[in-house]
Amino acid sequence: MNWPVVWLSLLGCAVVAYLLLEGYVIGMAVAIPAICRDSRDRDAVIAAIGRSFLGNEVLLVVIVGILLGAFPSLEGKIISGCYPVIILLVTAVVVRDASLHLRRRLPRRRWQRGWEVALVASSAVVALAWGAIGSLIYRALPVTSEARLAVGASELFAPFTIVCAVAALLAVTAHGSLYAARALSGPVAERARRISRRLASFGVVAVAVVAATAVVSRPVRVATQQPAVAWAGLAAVGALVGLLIWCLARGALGAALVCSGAALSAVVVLLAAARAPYLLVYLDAAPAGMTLAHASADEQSLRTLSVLLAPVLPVMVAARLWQARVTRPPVPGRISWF
Amino acid sequence: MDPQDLARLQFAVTSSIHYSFVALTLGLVTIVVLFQTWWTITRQPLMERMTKFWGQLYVINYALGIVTGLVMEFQLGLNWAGLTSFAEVFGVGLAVETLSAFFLESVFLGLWIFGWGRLRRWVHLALIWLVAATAYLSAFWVLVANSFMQRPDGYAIVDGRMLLDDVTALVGNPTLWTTLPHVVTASLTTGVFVVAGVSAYHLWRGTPHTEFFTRSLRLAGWLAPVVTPLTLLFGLNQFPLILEEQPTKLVATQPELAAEQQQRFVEQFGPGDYLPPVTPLAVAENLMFYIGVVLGLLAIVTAVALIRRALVRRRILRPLLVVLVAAIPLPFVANISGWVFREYGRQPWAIYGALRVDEAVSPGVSAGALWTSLVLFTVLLTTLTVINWALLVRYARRGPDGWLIGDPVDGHGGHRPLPERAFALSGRE
Repeated sequence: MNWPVVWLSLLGCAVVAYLLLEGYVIGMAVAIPAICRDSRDRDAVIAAIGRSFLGNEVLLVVIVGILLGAFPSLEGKIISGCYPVIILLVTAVVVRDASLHLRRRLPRRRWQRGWEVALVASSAVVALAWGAIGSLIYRALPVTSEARLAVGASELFAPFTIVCAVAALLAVTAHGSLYAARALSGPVAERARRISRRLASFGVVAVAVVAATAVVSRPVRVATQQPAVAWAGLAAVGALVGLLIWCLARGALGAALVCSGAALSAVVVLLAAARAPYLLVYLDAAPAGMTLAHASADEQSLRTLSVLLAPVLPVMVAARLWQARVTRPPVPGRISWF
Repeated sequence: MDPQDLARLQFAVTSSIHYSFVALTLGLVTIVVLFQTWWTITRQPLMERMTKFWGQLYVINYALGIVTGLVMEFQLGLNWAGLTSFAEVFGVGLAVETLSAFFLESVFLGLWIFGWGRLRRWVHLALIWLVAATAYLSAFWVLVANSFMQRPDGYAIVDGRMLLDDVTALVGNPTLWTTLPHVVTASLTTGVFVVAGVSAYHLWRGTPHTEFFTRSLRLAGWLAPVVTPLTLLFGLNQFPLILEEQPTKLVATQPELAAEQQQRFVEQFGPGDYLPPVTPLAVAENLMFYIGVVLGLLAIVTAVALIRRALVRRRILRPLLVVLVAAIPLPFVANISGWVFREYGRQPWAIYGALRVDEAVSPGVSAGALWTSLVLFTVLLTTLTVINWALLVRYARRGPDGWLIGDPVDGHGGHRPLPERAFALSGRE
């Protein structure tokens, strides 16, 4: 069996699952100021977040775990290469988690408000950081003499990085608002539906801006080994956003949520497929990039990991589905732990 | 400080904070398992309250265990890319840990928190057993990776990389199997002394929960004289292997053996200092050992007092209650000292006899970046730790009357939930 391909697919599945599941948790938190009017609204939204996030945030740990076990050189390169963005991401995730866990632990108004503000701000930073990390991984990056990725101010503040960061925030907030519109009821859900409609109409513009910035950026052009795939991917994302708007106009919230999920997944596929055969592309360096063969661990490690984890994988999926079933219908009148 | 020292300091700070939560998580979850099993079998309402009270402290503590663990996982890639890209085999243990054990633990815990009153009693009991099992499985796989750093086994060097060669040797590492029982019993000791300390506090202050905390103190009083001496025993049991495999770790107590090993390293790897600094090692080792002895004695005294019922009935041993409260920090200090001894004693090696720490640091990371992340993570995690402990103290002092786990909003059974409700109602105006 071609173990590197198997593990790359697993990594892809984990990233897609993270984006879809943690994406709506983060997006819902970012949308709080727009969809909540009072503390009761916020309690309802955060209780809905609390029901999901324990089972969703672990996907981030799973992604890093897969990188550590199956793609150790890629893991070190990306994480130490994107140092400033990664510490921003980790800090924001820590603050986000802490605000969810700590908010309800004291009955003081200022304490709860403080953590709510922290939750919204940190969730927005998480979304921005992921957009930036995605764009940095996509584009061709300069490398140092030690073969380390060199991400400096000119890469961090490149137009493409900024545009992608903002687009990620927009996409995740739209996804989260859609989820909130479906999972909640009453005026909060109504406001969430309106917000998601407004954000979705921005979505088409965002796809166009990302495409335009990409075309004029040399490192992005260099990285795009398969321009046809890239254009097809962008077109697919644009079409899915259009479909989403159409579904929303017809009031089909569930279908709209499927569209936003599909659009997010299409971005991940685009990220991986448009630069084949490379997983990372270097700017003006030889070799031109890191291929799957260079990035993955050796055959023996991958086979061992597969043998150890094959029996666990169905248990993981089943347990997560069971959790979704148990936590889905909130019991009326019960105080949430979160 | 050069980048290497900054990266080491960052790892020391974050892992010490992380481990203080891990030890309590492992210890407390075991006690929650005992209480919930008892409750499910006997249906005693007291045991339900026990499960909820200690379970709530467990969940509060677990939260920071997760976030500090996340920082640890990213830190390997941030600061120690040399380690992960050279020793690919090192990542195997960690990958299995995150993918199986940690993922399942978090999902099962979510089910347990939200499953109160929704799942059948026996299913709910099975969940806390699963949470505990996956927590211990996590500890096992992390120790697989750590033991590889102390005594690499089961690898082959191919093209300048340490690749997995024999998974049975990786998992059968004798360092792993001598350490695991020590780590498990030390965590149990931590949990037991926290339960004893919190119970002693309520009995000492004469809060209205005498029966409740007498029962929990009795459980702790029975467990402590078992797990604490075992911790000492399993700790001492590691020394023959360390003498044989890592003599430089014992530079403080066995200088001749350490010097011999230094000589061998010089012959093999060229001139250099292959001995860890003596003073911090000696301090850490002694701190761990003497705290272990003190806790062992305290455990025996408590058990004797409980057997004679003097501690709670006649209240003539009030000083013992105060000592038990004051002893709460001791297991944490001992746990962290133990890790300082283990990891400091590995210096200057990241993987003993195979990869030096200076080769393990991420190549080319600037001192500025390291300073930023060091200050950021230290301030962040320290602040959260202080907040978390303040909350643990608050919830522990409040006693079994104010919990949130599994309580309906109208507070059936006379146990009023937090006054948050009143706040929520007034906050709507």
